[in-house]
Amino acid sequence: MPEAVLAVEGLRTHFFSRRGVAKAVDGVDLAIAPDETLAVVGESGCGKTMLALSILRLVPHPGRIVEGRVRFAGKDLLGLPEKALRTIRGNAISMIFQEPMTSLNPVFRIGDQIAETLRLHRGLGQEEALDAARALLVQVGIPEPGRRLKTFPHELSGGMRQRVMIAMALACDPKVLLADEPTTALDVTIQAEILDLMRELKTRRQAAVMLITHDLGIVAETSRKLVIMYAGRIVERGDVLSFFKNPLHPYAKLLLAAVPRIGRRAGELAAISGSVPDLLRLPEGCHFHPRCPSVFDRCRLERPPLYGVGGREVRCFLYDGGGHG
Amino acid sequence: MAEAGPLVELLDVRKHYAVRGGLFEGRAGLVRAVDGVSLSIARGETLGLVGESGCGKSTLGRLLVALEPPSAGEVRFHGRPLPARPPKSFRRQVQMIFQDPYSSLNPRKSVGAIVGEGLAIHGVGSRAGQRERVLELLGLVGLRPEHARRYPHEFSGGQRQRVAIARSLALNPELVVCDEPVSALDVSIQAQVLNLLYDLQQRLGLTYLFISHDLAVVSTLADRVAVMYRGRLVELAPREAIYGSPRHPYTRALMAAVPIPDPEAAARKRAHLKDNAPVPAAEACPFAPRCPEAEPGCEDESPALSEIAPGHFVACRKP
Repeated sequence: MPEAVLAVEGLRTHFFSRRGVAKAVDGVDLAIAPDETLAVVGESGCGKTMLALSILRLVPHPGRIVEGRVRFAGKDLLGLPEKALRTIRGNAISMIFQEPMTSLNPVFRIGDQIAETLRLHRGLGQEEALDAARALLVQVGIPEPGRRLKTFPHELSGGMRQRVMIAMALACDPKVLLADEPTTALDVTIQAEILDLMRELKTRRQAAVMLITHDLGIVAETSRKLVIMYAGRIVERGDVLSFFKNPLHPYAKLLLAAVPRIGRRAGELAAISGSVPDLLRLPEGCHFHPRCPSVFDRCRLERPPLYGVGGREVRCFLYDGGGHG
Repeated sequence: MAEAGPLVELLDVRKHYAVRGGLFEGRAGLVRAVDGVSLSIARGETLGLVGESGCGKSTLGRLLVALEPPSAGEVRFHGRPLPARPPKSFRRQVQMIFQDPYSSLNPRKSVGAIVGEGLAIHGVGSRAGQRERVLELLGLVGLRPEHARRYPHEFSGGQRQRVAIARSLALNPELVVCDEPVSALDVSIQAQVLNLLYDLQQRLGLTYLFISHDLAVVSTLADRVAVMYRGRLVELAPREAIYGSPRHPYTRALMAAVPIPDPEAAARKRAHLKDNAPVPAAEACPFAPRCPEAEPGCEDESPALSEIAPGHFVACRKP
């Protein structure tokens, strides 16, 4: 296995308010190799977006990274001065956000927006930068790139805007791409194309991709490894094939069973009772225990560590001692 | 109640919106949000309505509950044409559940007041009777009596959608239009709400129009499925037929694009659709510019829905 391009170690990002401390990311470790897509799966509020923003040190107020390391190219990004980090952010490590309309500047032509990235990070002149921008639009499959360079974001469809976002993210040949629900705002037919595009670019550039999603269908189609997050922590980690055959964590099992699929009828869908917990009022013990069908006494009192199970990991007492839960 | 015939029918219904250009340009064009749709929904049936953003599916739902009048065509309820301003009694018989439970509930009203608002407006029963009914409704959707005094912000997304469902049922409607009712919810919560909608239908004999962009979600509830593209129906069939043997190229492309949560169902071939294809001429097949199977001639005529198997309608020249 090639060495990881990006490694996150013991990351904790907490939000401080008068109501208390919300531990959005609470001790996360992960690593991504070149030409690999790692899916980060979870529901709203599980900390998956904060994980990505922490990697780039873009955590919004009142959040703060309180502990951990982000290793990239022999450096710890969390220890770098802001100025040094700026040469990496949007350059060697890029991010694609969910809503392309809010991440593009509405008052600038898209050509100028892509060119700005190229001028800043690659030191190109305006003419060269526009030429490079046109080449990028061709790469992400935008027809009539010359004309598109002069359009404003609102003149493009959602799928085209997301292509522009990807073109910007790729402008500087990133080694790491952080994609946060990149297709959630798009129609399914467009989603399929964007996912194909990301896969092709990952391989061509040997990039490491962290794909944040709530959609297990997308995981199955794009990724070889995954982590499942719940209330700020990884509860399961492993390869995608084994996960879909045999999910380990009770939450993961329910999540997979709950996905609406063609052929399943309402009335008999597996549902997870209760809802995602409030990070300010997390239950004692295992954070999932109030919703867990396999709960027992120990779960209410202690926090489970990650247990190794045949090359995979799961945060559940059922697997204490090698576990055949 | 034992009348024959469908509960609701749309007969060649159209809804066009005039679009203004810039400040000095005046009227710039016409958006044909719904462009000649005919369908009917039987009592106790769930009709799924599927399509991508902007295809007109929400507008169709709004026409069905008379939130907007059609530009042309007729909506019939119990076999009788709906007047331009429907009577108050009609409002009791049709209800709607919206996508976003964060914006569809008034944040300044308690859950009890939200659920009971219809009862108050229509003057159903005494105050005490209304209170009782609200508690009954909360129980019906799996909420507790003490929730009546709380406010929407105290609830999670799934619970809010339960409140919206309770509100929609207050007046014992016959038809409930569900417009993307689970799209804003987490996966683990979607199944709860879909199961609830199913149980309520079984218990109360409700008729649903279930609108969603998600084919898998629609398949969990629908008896029949209508596929909409650019304001028109392109396919309408029983659930087994639409998922088992889809005939319209657009339906097939939609099916192929749904990611399947099974990594071993690998290497499926995808019919790639062109993004942002030009708007076709009014007389052309609306899907022709994006259709992977388009032939010369598809640009010349707009195919009507025709029945290719019992109950299976397709609008394509070569189904």
